Amino acid sequence: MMLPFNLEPLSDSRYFISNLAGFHRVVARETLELLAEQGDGVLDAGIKQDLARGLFLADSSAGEEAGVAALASGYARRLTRDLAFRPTFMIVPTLRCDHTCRYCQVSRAALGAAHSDYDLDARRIPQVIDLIARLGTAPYKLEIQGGEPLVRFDLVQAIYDEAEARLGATDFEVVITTSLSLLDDTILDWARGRRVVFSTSVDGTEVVHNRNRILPGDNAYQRVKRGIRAIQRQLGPDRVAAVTTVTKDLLAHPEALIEASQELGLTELFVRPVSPYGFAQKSGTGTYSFDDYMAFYDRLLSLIIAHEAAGGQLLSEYSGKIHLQRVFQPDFNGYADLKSPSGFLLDCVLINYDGKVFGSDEARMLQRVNPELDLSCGTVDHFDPAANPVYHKILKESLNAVHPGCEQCAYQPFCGTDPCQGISEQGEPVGDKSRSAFCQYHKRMFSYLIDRYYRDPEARSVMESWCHA
Amino acid sequence: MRYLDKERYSEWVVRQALYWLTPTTRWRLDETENQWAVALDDDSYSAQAELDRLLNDFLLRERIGRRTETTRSAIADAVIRSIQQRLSES
Repeated sequence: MMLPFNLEPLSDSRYFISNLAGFHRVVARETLELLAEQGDGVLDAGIKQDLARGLFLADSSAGEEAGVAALASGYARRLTRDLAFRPTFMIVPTLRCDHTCRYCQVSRAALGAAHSDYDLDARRIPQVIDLIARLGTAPYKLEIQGGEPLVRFDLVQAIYDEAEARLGATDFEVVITTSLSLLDDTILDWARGRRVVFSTSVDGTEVVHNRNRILPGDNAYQRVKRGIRAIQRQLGPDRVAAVTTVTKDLLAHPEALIEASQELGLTELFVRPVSPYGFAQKSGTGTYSFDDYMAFYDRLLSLIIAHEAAGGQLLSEYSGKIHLQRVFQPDFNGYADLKSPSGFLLDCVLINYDGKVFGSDEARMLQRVNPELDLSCGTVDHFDPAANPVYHKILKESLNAVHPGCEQCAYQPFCGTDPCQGISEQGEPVGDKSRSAFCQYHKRMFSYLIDRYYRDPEARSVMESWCHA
Repeated sequence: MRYLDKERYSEWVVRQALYWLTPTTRWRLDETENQWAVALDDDSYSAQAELDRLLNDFLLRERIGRRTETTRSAIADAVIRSIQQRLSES
């Protein structure tokens, strides 16, 4: 007796099937044809047993009842886990930035712009940390965003000091998202004894990086290279990580990324397509197809496999890793994009330089390019998501199991929703999934990774190392 | 113009397949008494092949879905009961 499941074709004649509880199998098309035509009575005993273990089949009406209960319980468990409110608290001390990047996601303000217009008022910092203490639980995760936050290193220090006093010296961690252009010995000395890590961007080789990340009068790549090396040397290799935004310039040269990682001593890559938000979208740097992106990703993975086979140190790729962890590690839900209901507000509270609070970094980006909308959930003095009907609508409509286009998808139990991306692209949070960049990207990533995992033993071994590292 | 026999292809199958064909090409759906009439802006071999692939997959989904339709509703009811129980325990 069959229990409900969804299916997606892989590159050969096999299909990926999954159910609401989040179990999956890869089966031949003939198996599905047999099930559809004649039911499970004609299946090979081994296949039947395996499918029953994954709650795809039940062996009797009593078994069907137990199967329904088990699927429902598994789905309810996933839902309640994803509903938990465990936000990362993002703080934007300034929107001013020393770079003029071509695809800047959030826009920026010029370095010389008025502080009063684009910087957080230092007198608000106790209220910021008070809000975090009221909303969160230890261990708190704080992420300092920008602009370029090190433009106002004094505010970063003040935020840390206030957090230390109010949240407890060992009960929080701070990630500073920075280009590292302003990193100096003063900042390194300060960070040494504190719970601080740096997240930066490396977009490939010097030529590619500098083409997009423009530092007027200086060399952005050399700056980030010096910064990464200084952090590794003085604070340790685990205190810095890098994200790569894949631009058209990098698409044809994935090997440049491996070379850059080698040169910089980074063992984890984190690649992602150009953001479809606001200013990045308008700049035109993101105009490549997902076919192009996946061809790039395919070559990158092959290069990582070849690098390891040649005796090189294992390089992991974080985007691939989180997609795989969602499929193979049922309790993994640590990535806000791949959650249903969406991680909007549940995984992120962003406190902007002007005191406004948002449910995600993407919401503040949308706000910048759509000033006529109010996408905030109050201010640092008066946090009240319930007062803005947009929040109610976004949260209510962020359950992908009932979205048209998702309800039939076999990747739905592992995927998520990004309502802000829906609003940005199509003017409403759910949208047409067939035209959604979020759907095209994540569906292709799941499909590609699973296909390669089950058909290429070398790739599988590397992917397993990523997941268990 | 591509004609699809209504006895073989339900409206659900045709509309689902066309929904996912949108990134490949724009399309228009009309019908006669016995057939669906599908016009594709891009009438190339690859667009037609993609339409065939989608039609085949949604036919398979429809056949499997028919065998599990009642169980799906039973699960939805059980999920709501289970969540209510979890929330009342927490």
